[in-house]
Amino acid sequence: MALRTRGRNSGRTSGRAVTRTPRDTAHEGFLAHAGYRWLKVAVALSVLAVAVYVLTDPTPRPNGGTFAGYLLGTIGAVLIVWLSCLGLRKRIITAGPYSLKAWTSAHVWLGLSLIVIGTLHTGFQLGWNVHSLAYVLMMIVIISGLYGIVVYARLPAQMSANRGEATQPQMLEALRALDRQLDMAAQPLGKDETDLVRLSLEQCDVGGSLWERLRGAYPGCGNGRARDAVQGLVNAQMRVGKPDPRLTQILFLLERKDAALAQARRHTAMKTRLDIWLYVHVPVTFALLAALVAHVLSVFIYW
Amino acid sequence: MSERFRIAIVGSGPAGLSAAAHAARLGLSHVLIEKTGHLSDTIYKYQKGKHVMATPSQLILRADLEFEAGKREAVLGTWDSMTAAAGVNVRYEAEVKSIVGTGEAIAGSVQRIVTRKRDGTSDTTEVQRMAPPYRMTLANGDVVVADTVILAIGTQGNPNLMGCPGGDSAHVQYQLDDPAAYNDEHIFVIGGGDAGIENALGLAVDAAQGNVVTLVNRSAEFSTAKDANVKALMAARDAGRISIMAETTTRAIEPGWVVLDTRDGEVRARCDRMIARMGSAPPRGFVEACGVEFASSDRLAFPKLSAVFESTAPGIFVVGALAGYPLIKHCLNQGHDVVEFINGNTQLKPADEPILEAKFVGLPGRRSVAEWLEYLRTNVSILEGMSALQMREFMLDSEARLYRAGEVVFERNAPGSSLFGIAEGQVLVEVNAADASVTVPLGRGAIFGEVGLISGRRRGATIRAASDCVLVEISRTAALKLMSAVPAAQREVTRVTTERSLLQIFKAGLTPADLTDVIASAKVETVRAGQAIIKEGETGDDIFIIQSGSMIVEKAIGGKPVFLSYVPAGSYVGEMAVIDGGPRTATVRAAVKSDVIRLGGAQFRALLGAKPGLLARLREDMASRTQLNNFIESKKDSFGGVVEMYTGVANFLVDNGVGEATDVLLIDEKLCVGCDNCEKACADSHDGLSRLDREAGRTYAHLHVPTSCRHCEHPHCMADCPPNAIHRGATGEVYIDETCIGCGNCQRNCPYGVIRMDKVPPKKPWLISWLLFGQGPGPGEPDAKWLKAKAKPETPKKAIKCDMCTGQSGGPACVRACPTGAAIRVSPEQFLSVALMDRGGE
Amino acid sequence: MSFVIRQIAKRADGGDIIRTRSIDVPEITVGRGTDCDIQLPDLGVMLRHARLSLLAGGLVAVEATGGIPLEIGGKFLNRAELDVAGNPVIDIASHRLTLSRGEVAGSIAITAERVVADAGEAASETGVFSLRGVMPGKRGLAWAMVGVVLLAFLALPLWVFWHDAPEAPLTAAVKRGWQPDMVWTSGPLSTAHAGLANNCGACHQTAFVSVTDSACVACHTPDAVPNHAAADRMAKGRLISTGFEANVHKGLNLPEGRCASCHKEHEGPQGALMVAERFCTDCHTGLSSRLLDTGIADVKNWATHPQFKATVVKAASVTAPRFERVLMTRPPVEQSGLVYPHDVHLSATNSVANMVRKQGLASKDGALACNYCHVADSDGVRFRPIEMEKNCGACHDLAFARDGGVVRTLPHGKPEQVAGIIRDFYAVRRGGVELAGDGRRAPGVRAVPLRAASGEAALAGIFGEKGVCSDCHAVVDSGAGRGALRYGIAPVTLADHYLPKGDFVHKRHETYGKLTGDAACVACHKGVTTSKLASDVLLPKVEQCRDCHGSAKVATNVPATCDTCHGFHYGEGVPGRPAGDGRRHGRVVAGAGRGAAGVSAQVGR
Repeated sequence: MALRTRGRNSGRTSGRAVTRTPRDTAHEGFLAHAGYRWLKVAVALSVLAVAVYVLTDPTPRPNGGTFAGYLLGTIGAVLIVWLSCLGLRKRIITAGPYSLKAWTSAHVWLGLSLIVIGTLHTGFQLGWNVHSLAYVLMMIVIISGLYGIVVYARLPAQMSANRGEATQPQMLEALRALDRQLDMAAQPLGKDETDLVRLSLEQCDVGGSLWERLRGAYPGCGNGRARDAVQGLVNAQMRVGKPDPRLTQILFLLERKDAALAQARRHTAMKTRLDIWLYVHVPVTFALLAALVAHVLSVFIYW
Repeated sequence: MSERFRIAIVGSGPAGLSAAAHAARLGLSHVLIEKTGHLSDTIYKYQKGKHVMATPSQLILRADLEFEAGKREAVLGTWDSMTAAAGVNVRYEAEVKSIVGTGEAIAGSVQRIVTRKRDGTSDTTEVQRMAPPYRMTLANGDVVVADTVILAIGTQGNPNLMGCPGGDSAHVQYQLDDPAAYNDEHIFVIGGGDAGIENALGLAVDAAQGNVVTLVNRSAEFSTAKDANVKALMAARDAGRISIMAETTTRAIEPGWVVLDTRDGEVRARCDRMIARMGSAPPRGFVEACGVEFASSDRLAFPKLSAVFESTAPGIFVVGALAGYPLIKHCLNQGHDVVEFINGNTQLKPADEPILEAKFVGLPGRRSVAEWLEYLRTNVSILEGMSALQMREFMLDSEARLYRAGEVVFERNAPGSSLFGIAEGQVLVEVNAADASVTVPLGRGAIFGEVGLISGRRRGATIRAASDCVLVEISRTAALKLMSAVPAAQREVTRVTTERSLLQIFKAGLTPADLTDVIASAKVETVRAGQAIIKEGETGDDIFIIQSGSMIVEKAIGGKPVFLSYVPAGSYVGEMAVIDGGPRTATVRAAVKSDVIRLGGAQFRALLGAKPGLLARLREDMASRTQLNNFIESKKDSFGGVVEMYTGVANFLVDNGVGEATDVLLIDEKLCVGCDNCEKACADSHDGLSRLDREAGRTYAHLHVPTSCRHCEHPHCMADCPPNAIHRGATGEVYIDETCIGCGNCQRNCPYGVIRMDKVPPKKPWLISWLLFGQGPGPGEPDAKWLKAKAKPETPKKAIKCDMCTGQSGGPACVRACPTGAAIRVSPEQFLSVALMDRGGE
Repeated sequence: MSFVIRQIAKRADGGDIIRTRSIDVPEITVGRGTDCDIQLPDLGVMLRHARLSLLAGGLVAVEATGGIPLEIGGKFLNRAELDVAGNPVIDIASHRLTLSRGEVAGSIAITAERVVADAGEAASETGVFSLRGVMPGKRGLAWAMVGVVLLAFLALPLWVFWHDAPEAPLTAAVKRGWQPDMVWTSGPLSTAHAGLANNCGACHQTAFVSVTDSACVACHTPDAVPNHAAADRMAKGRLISTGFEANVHKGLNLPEGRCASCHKEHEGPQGALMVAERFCTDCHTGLSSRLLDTGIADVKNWATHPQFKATVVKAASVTAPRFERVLMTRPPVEQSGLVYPHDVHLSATNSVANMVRKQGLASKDGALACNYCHVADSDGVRFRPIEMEKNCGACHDLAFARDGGVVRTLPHGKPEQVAGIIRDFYAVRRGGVELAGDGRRAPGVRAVPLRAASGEAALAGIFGEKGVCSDCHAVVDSGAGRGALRYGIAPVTLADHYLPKGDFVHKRHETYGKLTGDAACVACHKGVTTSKLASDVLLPKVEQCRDCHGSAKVATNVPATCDTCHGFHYGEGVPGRPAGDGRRHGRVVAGAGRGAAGVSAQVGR
């Protein structure tokens, strides 16, 4: 997308004082965007929904089939479709003056208002049918989203504190460097010692399984085992005399690698927590859209 | 033995080659003297397969050598074959050591050569010029005699050689073409500059090569090298891949060994190869020694040349980059032209004639290009010092325009770094922002726009044509060249700047007349970053006007320096002492390398005495500043943490070049979830290449300055751009246009490492098809794998940098595309204010 | 006799670095140790891993010296003799040695290279920091879920809907199990329709067409559920929605006036029967303006429900009694032809009370109980008809003489027979007769004269204004001569249902506030205890109902929708009653010319 094409001499400034398109220079999070504009909208919407629900008293009982039901249902469906468009919006980079922050803000707050709208639409009738399926899926999406809001609000600060100024490639490079040094340092050693070092080199998965990432605990980590074992050796040697300097060097490296691993893994753990919910939020959203289609179609087919 | 030729061409670059080829075609007796074993060394040294550009496109190629944009190999290939075909008499491996006239002394023509030494002292030697023919002594002792000499040796100059014994031995080399070519060697890299560090890293990066690399640096730290390079070097050292010997010099070089002088004595070490990267001496010294005079002592200055490229030494012609023409096409044409001239063709019009003609189209009065140039030269005061050739070259980078009466030349706050000269007519300066009727007239010969030129900031006033007038707009590059070429112009610009900035800052009905003695006392000083011009508690009453760069004001509170404010160029400091006499109340130090005008306190006080209005005005400013000080001190008393945080953040930002920025991207890491949508947005809105690296860069108190362009007031990248492809756009953004030749100068010059050289990737499949079926690499920059599969190998690399998303109505995509509001783009004035205090509070 | 050793190292950018050297010794060592001839920088290799020694005839002896067997051609051996000609391969940890003949005669070339990539380098940025590796992709998940949902909840039901046509007849549950399209249900069916739960097609017959009456009437035949009114009158009377609502219905293909317009299904057990009041009021609010000749008053809602109109007897008659609906704003008067003072019968002190006590009739603190005469009928809605023998006979008996052991009793409702019996009686016995002397007498009844001159005289006594009959009936004396019947009884018609257009279920009202039993009855039927005339119509007015129904006064606000009292499907034949209900709302209980049935009844006694 080449959005600008300039001629050779257009480099000469026009001399016009072109006022820059005003932009939002406030460090204001997506929740607080524009003084909680979308929170207000969402609350208004919910209040309206409740009003509609309370003020109409349908016989035999309130549900999606009443006037209020159809109204809330339509609002809800439109909202759901629009909300799911965020995924598209954030990826289509158009030239226009839009702010993804504003979109996120609206996405979050209006999404929450769906709890009210959707629930009232059901008229508190749930059953084993496509309609309740859609509702349940919607609630799953919203709840996962809530989790997302929480981690988005809390983790970034911790994450930047943990990573300092190290970038992800740097973290990995540091580990590789340590591995190389370990490999070199271990060259002159005998089998038993080298096997320990190989533990650290070959049995040490930085990221680890999903479970390990979530718990942030890596019991089977080769490096940890190697470190303990080498520590043991060194201690033993210390009791009888001076420890082998090569071993102490390796121990030192293993400890450094431990620290590096710890940082990288804290980073991973936090990134995992920042990402994991999307693996529920996004797929279930699509399931929800499908269920929504089935829900609406079924209603009209068995009219 | 010695041979004699009509023409001797030194250097086989495009210019020399083309000259030789033309000479050969005209059947003139000639010799082409090339230092190395191959033609056109500079291009030869381009990395393999580099795409060579042919700009400016509208320039007609009239040389005998064919040339069109293409691969390095292709270009060199054609040239080699064509030189061979033309029967050029080339002499390889021949380095000219000296060129001296053999004729009788030319009366009154003495060349004065000033050489500066490290300690700042300089001595002057005088050389009596001798008439042609010239004797050229080659490195190997041979002698070549020629009636005319064409110097086409370019600007690269010669690398500084190893002075120590054995410095000439075979395993000492001065460049490194392919680091991968050497294995299992003990390699010493001499010199801690970027070149040296990059070479050393290149040799050591791959452990498999088994090289033992040592970097030898004369001083203790690597002051001349880029931060990124130094970091990488230290990392390599910690990883045990490189050993560094600081404060070390080579004493002797023996086959297989090297002897070094270290802090703790002499060291003898194995050395199979020595790569000396100790910088290169510009050819200037050699050229001056030949009797060629330069326009000024300025680094950027070029030799004085006649319209036919003849230097002050009769019979010695200078062409190509050395003459100030870095582009290949220019060089080729000049090579052709200069031979024509030497061959007695005086009618020949330079190749750039049509370009210049185009520039004068639509101006009143039917004048030829030559007449126009002369007209401008004589009418615009600062151009007087220039030669006809300089005028031509100057005009290539400049514009002459006709403005009708009442037409606006530029508006207040319009960005622009060009200088204007009035060749005819009169313009009005609207000095008062509030009231356009308050104007100051400027007449023929005067210049304006110098504030933009000097400070790199937006225009200070609106300029209107009073009558129909012909103005010449001098681009920043051209202006800088001009000032270095013509000292008079330099002085004039400085004077005008001082006077006008004074008038602009303290309006209060001042007239130039009032200022005469203040200006007389004015001294322009250059301040290093971090250097203080005013120290708290010291006495002194000079006033400083910041001409370029910016300052920060600090005050020691409770023993700690507390950041008070950020002072951009165009404002002044130090007035308090003048008004109430006391010692300095705060410290003012340069945020970046800055130029300040120092005004004598005494003279200024006199001025204040004469102008009560001015005094009142100053008191106002002072009041507001004192208020700020008090505010911050009060904060300090109530909760110190906040102020420290505030100071910390401010200093951090200044350290990261925000001081010279006009618009910088900041990321609040309290909000950033690391989705990299900013990078993706950047890539997707700029032909698939991201101009920013979110993760990299410094962080302080959760405030992150990612690697992305700050759009400096004086863009370092602009400094040396052969096709002059880097400009400042209408909204103040610094961008690279499509004439970029991919030379990489800007990348090297950028201290913040925000420019990358890369190929434009092919078009990606439709987003939806990725979204639904995972086709293609998805949003953002395509991954290497996909590129390998899809990209065409011969696409040229170009310099890529942030253009602040000009032409996108929404503004910078990175900011628009941030889902959490972590990313903002701000100018330092906006951000480096007390508003920061709120952040500090968090 | 020499080894040529070619050690190949991989360059980071892919290329190979080949280091070749030749050593002129009969045997070489392989291992990690720096002193080995072939040094393999690989921690998997022992310091001294193996020894290779030249044998005659291009054979090489290989021996493991590190205590780890060597992998030679896939076999693990401690020592082996290899023929170089076959370019044998020795694998040591992640390295591989390939032996071959060198260029120089008799020399052995050994190529050593790493064949297994270094583990440490494997970790990629995405692999470590993103979930790519450890989670199934979002896209995959999304597709899978979408697929499942669409298949199970759209495709399958649709297939069922199209491929097995709705069962006919639609009656009750067709024997079939769970059906895929049951996931489309919007809620449980009403109990009546529960059987259709697995047979959606029974009602939902065509896609996008709302359930039509045809589906309903298949079971609910018109004579079981008669029309509310004649089709043409309905058409005239119904309120046709207009504007937006009409368009919505039209657009959504929801014709009005269908069964389903009122009866919402999938609303739980009672759902289908709960009908919104507005379905009535919509039409009845302005009915008179559309159906000009209607006799039914407009009703906006319960609050404005018009005063009741009681259907009272205006002219009692054996054959054609005349009824009339009279507005109850003023107390209506009825001509039932009966004489019955409620006050006398409900007194706790008078002779009636004595009789009650003596005979132990149903009573409430001394007075005769309401339900002695007004006996609730089977469904507790209204009351059994009053019958003389059952409800009056206990006191008003018609015995006139003891004849030997038999007490002679006159039949009720057959005046001509009475005349006959008396005449015969006197004709047989000249001279006086002795009458039953037990003194049992209905109050105020005079004894039949002992020595009546003749039967005529006795008859005059019975039918005379002091006679037995006149207690309850108006007696007509035609004055006709003997032989022919002289006396007649005025016909009696008792109203059976005063408010036939609605139903008032008495059973549900047996307690009224705190009152129960007779007190409860009297609470609504005010003035009964003081009523002297049978012509009094002692019905409560509509206000009486409002005291409880839809009133804020009562804590337990009893709802009052239209169908509390009225039914839509009662049809027009007999307003207010389901067609086919045998009962009529009026009956002649007494009068001359009743058939022989009465007699036989006598005989039966």
